[in-house]
Amino acid sequence: MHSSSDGPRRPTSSERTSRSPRTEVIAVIHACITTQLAKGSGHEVAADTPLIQNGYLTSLEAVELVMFLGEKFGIEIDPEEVNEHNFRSISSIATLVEQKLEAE
Amino acid sequence: MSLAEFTLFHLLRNAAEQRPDAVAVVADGERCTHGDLLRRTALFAHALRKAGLRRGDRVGVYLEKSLDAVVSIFAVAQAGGCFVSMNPLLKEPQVAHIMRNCGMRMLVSDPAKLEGSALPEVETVFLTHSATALAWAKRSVSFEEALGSISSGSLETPAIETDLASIIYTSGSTGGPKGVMLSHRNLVAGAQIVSLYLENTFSDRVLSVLPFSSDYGLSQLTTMVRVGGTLVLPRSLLPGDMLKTLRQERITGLAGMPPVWTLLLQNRRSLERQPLSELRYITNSGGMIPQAHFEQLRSLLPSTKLYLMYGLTEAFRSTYLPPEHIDRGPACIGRAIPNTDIWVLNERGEECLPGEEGELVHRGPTVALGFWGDEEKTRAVYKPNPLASPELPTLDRVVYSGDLVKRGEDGFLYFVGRRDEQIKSDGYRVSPHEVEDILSGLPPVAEAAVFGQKDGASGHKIVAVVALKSGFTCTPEEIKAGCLQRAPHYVVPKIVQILAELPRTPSGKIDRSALKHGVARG
Repeated sequence: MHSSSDGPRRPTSSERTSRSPRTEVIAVIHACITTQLAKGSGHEVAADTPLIQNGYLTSLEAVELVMFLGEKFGIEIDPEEVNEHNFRSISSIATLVEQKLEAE
Repeated sequence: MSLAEFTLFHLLRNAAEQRPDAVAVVADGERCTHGDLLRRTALFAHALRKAGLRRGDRVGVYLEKSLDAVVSIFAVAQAGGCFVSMNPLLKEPQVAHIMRNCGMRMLVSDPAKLEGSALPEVETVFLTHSATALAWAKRSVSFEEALGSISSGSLETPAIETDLASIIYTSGSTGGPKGVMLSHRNLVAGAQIVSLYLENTFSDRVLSVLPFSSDYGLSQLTTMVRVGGTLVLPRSLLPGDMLKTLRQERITGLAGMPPVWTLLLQNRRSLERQPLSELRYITNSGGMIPQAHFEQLRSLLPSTKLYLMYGLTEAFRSTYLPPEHIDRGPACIGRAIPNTDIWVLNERGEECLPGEEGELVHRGPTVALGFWGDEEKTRAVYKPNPLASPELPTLDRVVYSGDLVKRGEDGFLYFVGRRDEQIKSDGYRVSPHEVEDILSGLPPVAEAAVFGQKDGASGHKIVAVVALKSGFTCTPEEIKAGCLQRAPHYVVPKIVQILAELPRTPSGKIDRSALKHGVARG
């Protein structure tokens, strides 16, 4: 998939968190959900907590998260990959991000 | 043979008689035919009667969107009760408010949703999946076991069309949610009218993305059952899943609100490559589609008819714009739905001239019965028909919508704003929508909500809360400057607040009351 003009701005290689270890990817996603989207306050959102069914991530917030991850890691997540399987938990989103980073 | 269409149950019975083997509901990989839906419904209706349900008793349905939820709604109707659908996103305090407000006697829910909850007392709770004892329920019964314990099939419904069929709790922009009471006649007339103008047939397959707890979301269920079509309940609305379901189930109709189009349009590249050629129509209600999305939808879905609609729960549906007139733009709400009068009235109760702003007033068979347990609010919204001849008794009730609209020279209606949201800025009347349009036209702005804050005795300050597009930064001053380039000073917001995103109600609309309170505090 090639980047298009309407996609998010792609960071330069120095901005990019290249070859992030999994724990770091998980920490970034966790911070985005709990801080930026202000979800999970007073609760512990673990790496394998179901996100969608517990209301930690609405469909629109998932779209926000995709844009955020795209900028943070310099990857492009195809809308068709924004699905229940990949966005089940922080851990499954991290797997998707890792696959994207490896494919770079 | 002539078929009765008096109550909600009749719609299902007719579909099961005429198209018993056609698929009624697709949910969680299961395909349930109209015949099976009727059988499951009748079993649960028996179980409800056996558990002591009396005519008119309120039965809550607090479930994820599922086949069980569909069965519960129709079974309560068949048994002569009143179903109260609760949005699965609601949390304990809102559920407790609704249960107390309507004096709920029974509840159908999922143990996972009730874990650790302390809710007002009810007679019986039917639990899907498994039965667990609940301190606040006199009895808790497994839904499946309740169905299994019934041997006989048919049950004639005791309900008549004037009976209370459902209470729909509006998210309520002011104060707590209000319960709008709908009769069977309201629900049946709504299904007849909507399926008529959407030209629904048994070959339609509609994707149900809106909750059954809203009148608009319930309408997809009632119309599909009425025409013997198929309703597909998706597990997820993530953009990838939504597109996959639209393609796999060859969906012909999709009803949404503005956030739904945001999700669908994420897939624009896929839609360009492979259009949704089976999608016959989409409908929008619950807020105006932003101009940019409106244009993208039209270009990406060239063979799909776009219906713009307007309705309020107090009268179910009011207007629609026939798709051949779509060029009139997203602010046009069209004309009265079939079998309905829609008037634009001024403060003296006379009909406005074209171009003159007035309140939208609705008369017709979908005018609901009023607000549950609230005579005062009911009288404020449901009033005697002001245009009736004096010889007629005043039993004919019409709904005063509280929405300002105007009729164009073309005869079509255009939305102006909520009457109580009108802003008086520097002596000019300004509608929040007008300002929101200007803000949305600024390159960095993703979304905007505008309201008036009291300023002096008779005026308002325009307050704007905006969310920026990803990757953009700008200051409130830059936004004000951008507005001033495009509009006179009295339309420019005095206060601009930038948020990461706008708060939404559980039904997905912008939560204006939360915004107002946030700005007042902050």
